[in-house]
Amino acid sequence: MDERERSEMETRARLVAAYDAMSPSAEVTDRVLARLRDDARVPEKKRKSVEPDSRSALRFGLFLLPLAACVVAAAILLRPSAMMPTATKVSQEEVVVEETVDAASSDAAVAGDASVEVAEEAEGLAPQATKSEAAEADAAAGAESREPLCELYPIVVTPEGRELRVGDVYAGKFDDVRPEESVAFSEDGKRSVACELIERDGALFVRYGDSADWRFAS
Amino acid sequence: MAIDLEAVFRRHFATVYRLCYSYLGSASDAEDAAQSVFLKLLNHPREFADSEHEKAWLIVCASNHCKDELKSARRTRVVSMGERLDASLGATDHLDETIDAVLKLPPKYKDCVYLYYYEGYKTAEVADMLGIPASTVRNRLRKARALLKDSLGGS
Repeated sequence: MDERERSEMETRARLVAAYDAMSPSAEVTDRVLARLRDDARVPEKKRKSVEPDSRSALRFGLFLLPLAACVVAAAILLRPSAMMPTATKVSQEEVVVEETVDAASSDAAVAGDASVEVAEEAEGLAPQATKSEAAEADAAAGAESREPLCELYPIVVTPEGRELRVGDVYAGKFDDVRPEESVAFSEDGKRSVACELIERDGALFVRYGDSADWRFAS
Repeated sequence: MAIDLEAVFRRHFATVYRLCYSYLGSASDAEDAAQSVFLKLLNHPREFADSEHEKAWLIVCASNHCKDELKSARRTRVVSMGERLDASLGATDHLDETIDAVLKLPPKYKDCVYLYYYEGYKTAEVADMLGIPASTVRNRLRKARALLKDSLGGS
């Protein structure tokens, strides 16, 4: 007998012993047989529903779950705000920027201020303007002249109980902050920026109020 | 119960139960699964050419039932080692290791290993029973042996 045959025989012996150990006891055999006898006495129509009610209910629930998810997803997608194209949102913000810039430039014109030039430049802000450009526009227009696009909450508590303050960056999911609720964040930790905290596909997005930029929170 | 079904049960319950146990890893689940297999025969009685045909049908039925159970979303609970092994078995450490290795095998290898090593069928017979080519059976046995060897620490 060569090594391979010997190894094969050993494997077989060990497996046979393992399967033997899995054999049902006489008690188990009798118990299952008794249950089958009971089943055999039940008419076939009733017998088909031998599964516990809880299992059937669970199956039904599992069937309903994807259906409910689809309904919820459809409801979210069909919200009036979701139906509004992104371009429309951006143009609304442009209007806000333009209005504030206009107000600043007319104020400056009355005062004969040199910042008019800056304000005029700010008028030409494209929808995709960078944050720094938007900040420049802000500086020109005067922060007091513009309303933040969203309400500010300086402190947000993460699900882990960590308190986020202005300047903190947090990568995670906020269970207690609804989309469209706002927090104060800072991109560079130096100044607070009005922004919107929005959850999309489980990721946290921060939408800065000054520009139309969408950024990850971390 | 018709007397023939009871006779079938007596002849093949242990085989069906062992196979179910090797799939599901717990005595209570194996018991339920084995009962379901015989219940299928009770609900849909059929003629068998001989005892081997009868056994083959029950084995395939048990194997399919267990695979369905494993796929089922409701089977999410974790089965502990303590639950898997009947206290009455009096298994040694050596035996524990082998049982554990068998239970850890991927489902697709389990019926091949059981039928080949325990029931003593030849690869061609296993192939006929499971409706797969003999080469697939040999391949699965080879991979299962390698996995068992790994699990048993190369011994």
